[in-house]
Amino acid sequence: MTDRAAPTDPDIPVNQSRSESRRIEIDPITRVEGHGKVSIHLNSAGEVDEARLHIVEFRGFERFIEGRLLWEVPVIVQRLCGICPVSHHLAAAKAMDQIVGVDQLTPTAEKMRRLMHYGQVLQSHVLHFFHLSSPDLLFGFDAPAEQRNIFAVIQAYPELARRAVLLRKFGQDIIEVTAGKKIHGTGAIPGGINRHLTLEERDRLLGQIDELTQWCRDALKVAENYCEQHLDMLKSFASFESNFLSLVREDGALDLYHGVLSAQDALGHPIFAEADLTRFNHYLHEEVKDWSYMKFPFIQSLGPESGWYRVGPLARINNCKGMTTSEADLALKRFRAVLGKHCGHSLAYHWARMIEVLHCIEVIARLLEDSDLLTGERVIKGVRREEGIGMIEAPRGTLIHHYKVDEHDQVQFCNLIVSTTHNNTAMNRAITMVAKQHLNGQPNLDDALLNHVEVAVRAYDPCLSCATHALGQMPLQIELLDAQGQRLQMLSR
Amino acid sequence: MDELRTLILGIGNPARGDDGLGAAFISALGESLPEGFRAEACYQLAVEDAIALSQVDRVCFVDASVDVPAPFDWQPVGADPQGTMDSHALTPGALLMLTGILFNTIPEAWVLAIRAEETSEIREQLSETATQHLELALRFFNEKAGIYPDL
Repeated sequence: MTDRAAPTDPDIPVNQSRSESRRIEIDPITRVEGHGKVSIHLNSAGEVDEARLHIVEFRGFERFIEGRLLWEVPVIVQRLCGICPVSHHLAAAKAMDQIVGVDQLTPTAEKMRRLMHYGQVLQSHVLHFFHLSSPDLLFGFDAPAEQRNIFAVIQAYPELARRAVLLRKFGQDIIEVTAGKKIHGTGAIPGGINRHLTLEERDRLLGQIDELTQWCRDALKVAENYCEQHLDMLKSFASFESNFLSLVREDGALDLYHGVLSAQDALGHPIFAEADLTRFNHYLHEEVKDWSYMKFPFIQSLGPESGWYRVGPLARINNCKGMTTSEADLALKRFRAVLGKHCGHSLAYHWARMIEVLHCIEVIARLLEDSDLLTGERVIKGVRREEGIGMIEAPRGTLIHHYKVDEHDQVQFCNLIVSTTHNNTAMNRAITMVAKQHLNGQPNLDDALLNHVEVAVRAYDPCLSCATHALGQMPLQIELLDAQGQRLQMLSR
Repeated sequence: MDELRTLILGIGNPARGDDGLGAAFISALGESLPEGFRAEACYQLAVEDAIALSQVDRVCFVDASVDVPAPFDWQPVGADPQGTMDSHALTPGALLMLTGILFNTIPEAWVLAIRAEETSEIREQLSETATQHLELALRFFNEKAGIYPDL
């Protein structure tokens, strides 16, 4: 963490001379995936002018995919991310389904993939809530740094922590039996899946469901209680109106695996709803800003200024008409009774995330009772196509894989739009609001104040990871380019 | 006397150049492990790995490093209350700490850090230098595991 004047640094807000500007950096952000950096720009009066989240987006993977055979893509893309490889596995498989001419999987294939996906979302959400965000929520944003960490949570709430670990393990076990392996699974293949669940696997998972469902209910209660007890803070902390984007089932119900691409405005009015997912780029465009590697997507019809949107649990909860499982649907009604139909509070992501956790375990229980997992046709083929677009609701939001494949089965084009990119503008807005509220007039920054900024980012559970993890080295690089594309400055470590 | 149970965890992403050293190490060990040894590759250490650690007597974390002297470094590691747990990925010390708190047991642990040249390039092959380091690390480990079963 540094607090430094940057008189010669070109990375300063427009409309200010360099001598007027002062920059505070929080680097790196803790407890989010991978590494990013926040720069807070102060004006000459010492007030926050703007805060920016700098993320080293994992680019270049598309070229890594180009030239690969379509059959291997769903496996290889898992190397994109060590955090949610299953989302990439399934999004790629869905795109390749279209290439091999399959619009509708067999019931067995779709249910196996759904089981894999809901298992992954469950374990991802649980980890985020209990191990990354809980120190903030349980001890408060202003708690001493030595207390505001996961080990303090474990000491204070050991049973909560133990349950979170076992819920994570359950999700990983589901991934292993559906994908074939814990990492680099091969379960989803173009046109279907390559394995059934065995009776032993099914019974082993099913035997844990009742206990784990109760734990998910309890976990949801923690989030509900927190939000209800801190309503004033929810309403004032990084709370703002926005559009929301997600897949929803054709009837409007929340669906994490497949559906209609739906965008709604802050009042819940539909902006578009497109069932043909191959047309997504008619609705979504991306803006580039010279200070960020990551693009800024927006809804084309609204333009970049007002067309930005949020994705992820809060977007899904806001966009859907209801849940397909009974307990989660009741939880959704409670959420809306307290926070309204279209909630804009960043911290409400935590509550929405835990509603999805309960929904996931209910869906998993339902699927495990379905005999289609044990038998039935696994893979089909249709009339070959050249292009495929796979879309899925990953834990952090909508994930898009777009491929073109030639007659030799080789990928000629690949474009990936990941969940964290969709939330780029929203995260910048959130940290700017929080920085203005909490840092103005306090020239002596302390850890608790800085953590408020990080709390705002963490609510979105951004995945900044590029899945590299060498000891002693976490990649971080900042580059500044002028309008001609010339590098003005580069920092790296 | 029961056989000591040993877990070898190879950490890293094989698509990121030398970051794949941990996975390559596990792959090279193959099936020829002594009795009581089990090897697994993972992208990164996660909280649920505490369950596996609670069920063994010894664990060896194998990872790439750009900081250790070539060709590799072998050090014992203990539970670390200051170990980072800021993301899905944990440090070995943090994972051992978590294991101890949750399950009241901490295995003996070592880190085998193999010197890497670079770990950010999107590439499935190890660099030539890293490959040489890997071979030396494997020889060292096999000697330790075979001749000195107590590591």
